[in-house]
Amino acid sequence: MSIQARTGSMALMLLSLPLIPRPAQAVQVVPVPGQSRQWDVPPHVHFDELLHEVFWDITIIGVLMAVVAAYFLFAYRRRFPDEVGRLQKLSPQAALGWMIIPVALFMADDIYLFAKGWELHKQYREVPENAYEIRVTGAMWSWTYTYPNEVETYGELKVPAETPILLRMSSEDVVHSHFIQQYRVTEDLMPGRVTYMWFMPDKVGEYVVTCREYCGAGHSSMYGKVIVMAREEFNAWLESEAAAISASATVASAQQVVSPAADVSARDFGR
Amino acid sequence: MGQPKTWKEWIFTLDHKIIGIFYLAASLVSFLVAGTSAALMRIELGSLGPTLTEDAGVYNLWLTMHGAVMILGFQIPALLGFFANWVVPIMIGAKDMAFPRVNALSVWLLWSGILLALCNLIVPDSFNGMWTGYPPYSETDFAGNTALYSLIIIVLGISSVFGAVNLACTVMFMRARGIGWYQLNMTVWCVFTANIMQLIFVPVLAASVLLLSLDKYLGFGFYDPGQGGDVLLYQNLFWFYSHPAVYVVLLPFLGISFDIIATFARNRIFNYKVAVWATLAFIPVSSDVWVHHAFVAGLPNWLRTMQTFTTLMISLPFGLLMLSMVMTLYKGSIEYRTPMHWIVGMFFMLIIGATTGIPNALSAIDYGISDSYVIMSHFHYVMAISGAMAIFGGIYYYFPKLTGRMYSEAMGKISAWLFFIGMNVVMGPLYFIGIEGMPRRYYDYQMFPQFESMHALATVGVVITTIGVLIMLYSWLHGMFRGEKATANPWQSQSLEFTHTDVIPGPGNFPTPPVMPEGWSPYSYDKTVTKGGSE
Amino acid sequence: MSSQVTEHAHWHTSPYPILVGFGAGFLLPWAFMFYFVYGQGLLAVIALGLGLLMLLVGGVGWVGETVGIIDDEGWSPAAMLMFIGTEVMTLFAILVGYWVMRLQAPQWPPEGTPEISAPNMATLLLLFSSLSIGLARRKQMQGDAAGFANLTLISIAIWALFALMTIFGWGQLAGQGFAIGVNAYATALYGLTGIHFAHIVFGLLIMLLALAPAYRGRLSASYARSMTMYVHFVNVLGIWVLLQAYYW
Ligand code: HEA
Ligand code: HEA
Ligand code: CUA
Ligand SMILES: [Cu+2]
Repeated sequence: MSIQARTGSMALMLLSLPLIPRPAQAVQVVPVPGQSRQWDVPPHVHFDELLHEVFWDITIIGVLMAVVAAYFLFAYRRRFPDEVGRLQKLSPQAALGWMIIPVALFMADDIYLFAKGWELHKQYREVPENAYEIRVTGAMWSWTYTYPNEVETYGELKVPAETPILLRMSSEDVVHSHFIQQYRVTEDLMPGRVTYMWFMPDKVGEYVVTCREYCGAGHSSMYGKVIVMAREEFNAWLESEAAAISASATVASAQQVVSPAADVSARDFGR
Repeated sequence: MGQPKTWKEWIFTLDHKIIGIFYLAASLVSFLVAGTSAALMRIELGSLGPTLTEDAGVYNLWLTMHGAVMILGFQIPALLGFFANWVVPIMIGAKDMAFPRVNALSVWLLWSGILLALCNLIVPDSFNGMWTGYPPYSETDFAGNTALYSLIIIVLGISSVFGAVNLACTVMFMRARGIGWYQLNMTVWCVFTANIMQLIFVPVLAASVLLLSLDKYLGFGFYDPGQGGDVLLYQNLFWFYSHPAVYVVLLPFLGISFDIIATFARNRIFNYKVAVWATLAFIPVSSDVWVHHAFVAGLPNWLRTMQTFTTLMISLPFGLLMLSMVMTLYKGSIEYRTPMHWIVGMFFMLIIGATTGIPNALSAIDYGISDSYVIMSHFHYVMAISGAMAIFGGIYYYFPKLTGRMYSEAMGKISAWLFFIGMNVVMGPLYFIGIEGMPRRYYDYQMFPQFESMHALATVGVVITTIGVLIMLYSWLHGMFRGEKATANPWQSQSLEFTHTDVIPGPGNFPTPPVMPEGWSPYSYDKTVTKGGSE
Repeated sequence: MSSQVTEHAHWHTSPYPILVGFGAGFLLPWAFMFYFVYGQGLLAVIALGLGLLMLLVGGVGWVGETVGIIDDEGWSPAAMLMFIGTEVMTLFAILVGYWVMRLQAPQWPPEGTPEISAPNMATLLLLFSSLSIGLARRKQMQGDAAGFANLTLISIAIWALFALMTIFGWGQLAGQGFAIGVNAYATALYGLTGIHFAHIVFGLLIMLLALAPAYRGRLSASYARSMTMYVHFVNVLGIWVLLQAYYW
């Protein structure tokens, strides 16, 4: 095959770059320790603030348009049968102005929103160094959670409070989506790829997990719980589970449980 | 001259107006089928636990039918079938479409597709993979007859491509003498642009669903990771079409709305040229935003960030179009007839729908609301309610030209506001429970019992909507047979389809090919005295 | 304007589009579903036969009604150009699928791929068909209907030969144990050649339909020109498939 044909094919391949899983995953890998920033508030709190702000933004835009429209609709009712509209043709300068000025305003707002959104996006996607990792497997129609010491739970995600939790997820059959309303976070699971999400369980309690990608007849019954426990309680539970699994397997040990120093990035992130 | 007399002249017709009517019929049948399934769904969701059916699969079938048929059967055929066929050629002073036989072929392919879709209600293994048909689910046996889904989309796709080529040629080559590109109605521009988008994007959809069936039935492995394929390939291809598809729906209905507003406000389009270029700008802008439907699908972070930005950029052309639309009212002389009522309703719904796109567009916010009722409510406002209101308004607007008679104004207006109020009662509460976590495509919501009252309220809304729809249908039937005789130009419009045709345009549309004078515009109300149809 | 309007005008009709529409749009899908989804061979054959019959009768009637009798004003080539544009997009989507699979694979060709010889000779044939169809078009421009018909027939023969060679090639591959589901390369190879094959079949239909009117001395400039464009396009596609699937 000639050089030209080869370069041609390569150029076309480049176009499809976003679709290629390999580079895709390279970009997705969780940042190495030290790169992620410290955030004052957990993402879900930040989310509510931003959502609030965005709602204000679009409400102002919407109300402005609605009020102007309503006023025109009222003020310019037809007064006599032969009346015609009196809108004049714009001069070229005016036409241009009526394009450039609105576009500049819209653009300004867009950039503002984008910047705000990006900040939160980074918070969602950059996993804190000390995150505690749990593997999630979705299958029609249940969730399996696997802890570092190979303890497994079904439909109940037990996590220690005040520890960032990293979920590394994959699916056995079809696409599912792991959604925790309390933490405002969703990410799909699918066969052949590994995805991740993280959240910060700041308060002890029980919250709902649901599946958010259509996966068949059991989609709406594919729900479970996140149970946030105090750390000691969590450790005790995990150890007793591990002990219960088998006396012979001496996998469980306290260091493997929650220790902020756990080197998350050293684990196999890609696969 | 009126309508054809013999059945042959109907069935074997090559005339764009009759073909348009067949499109309209297909579209209304689809609306009733999909609307009925919406009503069933709402009743099911109205109370916690099983209501109408114990079987989630049945609900999923309704929802699949609802989504697919509403978009592919109701809105696209109404907008790119009926309005494109019936209205556009007359607006540009053409005697027919460029290729009348291909045009007839398109409509019968559409009907084939609709019949196939109805078959999905009959076959034992109905397809229930939703209108998005994501693999691997759609390639499992749980999903039912995937071939039906693929083939419906392929048949409709071929129909659309033929239709789009035909319309593009018509607009390019068949404009009457004296009608330049900047003298076209907004409807023509918008439909033209939408069709160009169809040409570019439909084939990608057709290919993506073709691969589904190849995988499932012939053993290929395009989407099967076990065979070296990739699940996400489908989502990327699908949304590469289906995002632009929402503008394929949006633009024509905005076009119709522009024309109706101009007619009833007797005003020119504000900043016409900029509006035209904003319309065209949707082609490039919408081609690079598809990832916003897959923000949570495990695509790389840089892609999400990039496409958040490109998605936000849609607000530029969109904002310019909405600005032109509002300002077309300015200094107008607005008469409130039924079509105008529908369009006013449309406009307020569009504001809600379009602005609620913005939170979704921010990937970070989407992490909390993706695939929830927030999204569902967003697209019902911007597409379902706005689109339907513009379509129904448009049908009322052309009712006199289609039937030669007038409908009842009172019934028309009542139906418009019942539809408006009803749909707000449906979609308003659902938006708020969406923010609190209500997921889409749920047959039941045991995990969120607190949402029951809002769901119930939404179900009341659909009752109001249904009454509105029934009144609308009755007003059409009544008008068709009992209505007052219409005149050729009941709205004193300046647009060609009113000024130069008979009450019901006959074969060839115009007695002699129209030649427009220098400087003619379909919107020049202040210059010329309005000419009726028979001067 | 009023009632004198359209007295002389009448409604144009043709029974053929509806035949083609339901034949291709409704029955052929059912043929596929009967066979592949429901395993009803007989029903599949009936639907296929009926569908193809409607398609053919419709097609023959259609060209019989139009070619050399009424013609658009030379718009068909523009339309064909747009149509080819959409075709390119279709293929682009499928090629993206191929690239994704290929770049993701740990090795290429993946395990289980036998030694496969590229269909160089068959692809060379395609070039000859481009030549013959080009000559046909020249005859048509000279108004030589019989010459046009003969050269079109030659192109048809070449393509039919190509189609047979493709089928034969598939048979050979399957004989080597390289069936569709074997690995990603099989998916790609059968996918790409299959798409090209479908275009060949469709093109054969288009050329066949041109024959009947041509032998009766009827020619249509726009039909001939669009047909030629399509044939060239499918040939270029064939070469592209050869390069992508066998030589890259
Ligand atoms: C007609 C149909 C239509 C239209 C026009 C739109 C318009 C928009 N949509 Fe919507 N959308 C759908 C139909 C439509 N959508 C459908 C059907 C789905 C769901 C599919 C499915 O999953 O089943 C969907 C889903 C959907 C998602 C996916 C969410 C998810 O699944 O998680 C997103 C995310 O970004 C989105 C965003 C937008 C945006 C940003 C616009 C923008 O075009 C809106 C831009 C307009 C404005 C903002 C208002 C006017 C502008 C101004 C006045 C200028 C000033 C404003 C600013 C500077 C902000 N839409
Ligand atoms: C153009 C599009 C369109 C339109 C007009 C509508 C119209 C309506 N839609 Fe729909 N909708 C979608 C497109 C549309 N929808 C899509 C794409 C989805 C997503 C699908 C998916 O998730 O895959 C969706 C999903 C969807 C859901 C989400 C369900 C879920 O996620 O679980 C709901 C729930 O309330 C709903 C409700 C409605 C209602 C009440 C109407 C009402 O406006 C309907 C009003 C009409 C009627 C009520 C019919 C009235 C007439 C009769 C009853 C007369 C009957 C008489 C005879 C037959 C002679 N729609
Ligand atoms: Cu799992 Cu939906
Ligand atoms: Cu979109």
